[in-house]
Amino acid sequence: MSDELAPELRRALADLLLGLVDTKQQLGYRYAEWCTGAPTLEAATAASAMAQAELGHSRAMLPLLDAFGDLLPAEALGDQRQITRAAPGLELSFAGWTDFIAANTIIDGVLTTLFELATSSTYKPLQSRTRKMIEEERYHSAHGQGWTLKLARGGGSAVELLRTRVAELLDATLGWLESFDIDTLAQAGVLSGGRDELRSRFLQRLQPTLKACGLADEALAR
Amino acid sequence: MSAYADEEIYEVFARNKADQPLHHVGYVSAPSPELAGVYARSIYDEFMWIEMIVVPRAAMHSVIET
Repeated sequence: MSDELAPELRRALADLLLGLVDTKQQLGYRYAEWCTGAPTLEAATAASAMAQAELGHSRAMLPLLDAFGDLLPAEALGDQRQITRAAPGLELSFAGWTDFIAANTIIDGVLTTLFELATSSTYKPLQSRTRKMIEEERYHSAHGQGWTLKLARGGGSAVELLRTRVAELLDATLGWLESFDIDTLAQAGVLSGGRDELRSRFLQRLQPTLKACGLADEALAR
Repeated sequence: MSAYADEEIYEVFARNKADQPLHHVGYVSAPSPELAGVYARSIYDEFMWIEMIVVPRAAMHSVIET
């Protein structure tokens, strides 16, 4: 099916799919590291469930890369594949729970925004996988937002740390988004919105978190 | 289950068939109903529930207590 696409569109789609697969896999690994280290037993169980979901989503999307093998780096394919295109901020283990919550909010948030733009995608292999993922991501979003508000209410060094980490991750994630050819994908109907729409929806989704961290105005200026 | 000072206990009720009533499946400690829902969904996932609710324990009125 991908052979029917124009070369520029194929390149853009291959790059996006690799970014989604890699980010979900890396995020799943990072979440999993907190299955035994979260602040409460409830949060540890949620971290475990979110890790399982992210790894499952990545695995479910992995076969989509097969149609683009000629365009992707060799190390991104096969049984021993390596993560090469994940969103920044996941290269190292989270230094603390605030890092977990920042990634939960920012990186999970950008992935969900991208999938929401693919719910009526003209590229059916992508479109058919979005509904279940978006449904599960609803709980990830509630987790990130719930913890952000909890940390913000507590004040002190935790919220300062969260503010710093959210600001850093937001900048890095917006830069990562810019690296994809979103407008080409939107023009072909693979996504239902272009770069500006994606960015706007993403920042809108983050508003409760950004407000809680005192970053709302600053984010809009980015 | 832990309980931070800013958290409260939420009782969890669920059902897995439309003709069944909601029944008590457990409880979670959380700082908000939203987070309680996230926790309840991930902890009490032994069935394919069709409905699950969380209720603050503080909102429940005792009728009989022996």
